[in-house]
Amino acid sequence: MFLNFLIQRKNVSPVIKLNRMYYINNFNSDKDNLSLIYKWIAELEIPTTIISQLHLKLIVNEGFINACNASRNKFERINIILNVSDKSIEILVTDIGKGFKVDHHQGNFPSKMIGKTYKLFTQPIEELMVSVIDNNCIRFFCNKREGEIAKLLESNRGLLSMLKISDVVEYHYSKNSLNYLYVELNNK
Amino acid sequence: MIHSKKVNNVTIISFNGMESLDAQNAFRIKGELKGLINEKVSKVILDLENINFIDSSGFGAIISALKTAKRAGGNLKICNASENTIELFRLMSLDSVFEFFDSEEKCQSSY
Repeated sequence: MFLNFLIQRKNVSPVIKLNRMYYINNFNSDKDNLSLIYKWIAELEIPTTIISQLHLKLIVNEGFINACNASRNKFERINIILNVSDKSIEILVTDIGKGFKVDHHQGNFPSKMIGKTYKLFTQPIEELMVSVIDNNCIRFFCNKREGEIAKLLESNRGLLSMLKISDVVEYHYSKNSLNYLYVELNNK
Repeated sequence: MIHSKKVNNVTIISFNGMESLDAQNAFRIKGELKGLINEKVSKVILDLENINFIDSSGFGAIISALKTAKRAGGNLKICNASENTIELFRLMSLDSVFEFFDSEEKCQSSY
């Protein structure tokens, strides 16, 4: 699997293959590494027609923080992989946590959940939902709703903000390897 | 570092030497903002002139400060936010929650 090939390479970027650019880096799962990540992103030459620096920074930031929160300590490595073509960008952020919890199930989902949708949490004007794609993959989406602004939550905005920028946001669980958040944007 | 000053019963809070409100500093910022806002200090302006990036953790700190100000009978308004910062408010669905002003003076006179 190309993901496994990429994550074995350390701090090598970019990799050029079939008119695509692969950027990869990895960091300890310590939130204090955000400054290093911002510096790395600022140095990448990714066309702004595909994604703005601001949006890329936000997606990578939120993905990295989710991965940090899933880590058991600050020394686990988090890989960030960008796969860029002239028409799209794919962003992968790995973690080795237990996976997302959906309807009391975490990680490997039972087959009866496949194809069903679940609510993860509710903010005053939107809800974060997931569809279970297969035993190891969930896809996020957002539902608009009416609600009182006064009931704003202080947390749980990262994935909702990613959904406003991206075409696909998924989480892939792997029992014996790395889990990863997958974000895809297509140039429209 | 957070800096605050009081002008005509309105407290203006700004961030010196900081470019981001994010998971690296949000916990500390949240505590400092909460410490500044109370029943006597509830009309607040957050001056975001120096800030060029806010993530969901940073917004958590700002929402916490807004709630504290509202509970104390006041409000928290935003001034000098850059286009990028306002875009981040929009992505977090918070652009309709806060009032934005392009100068401290205009923000102050809105109270």
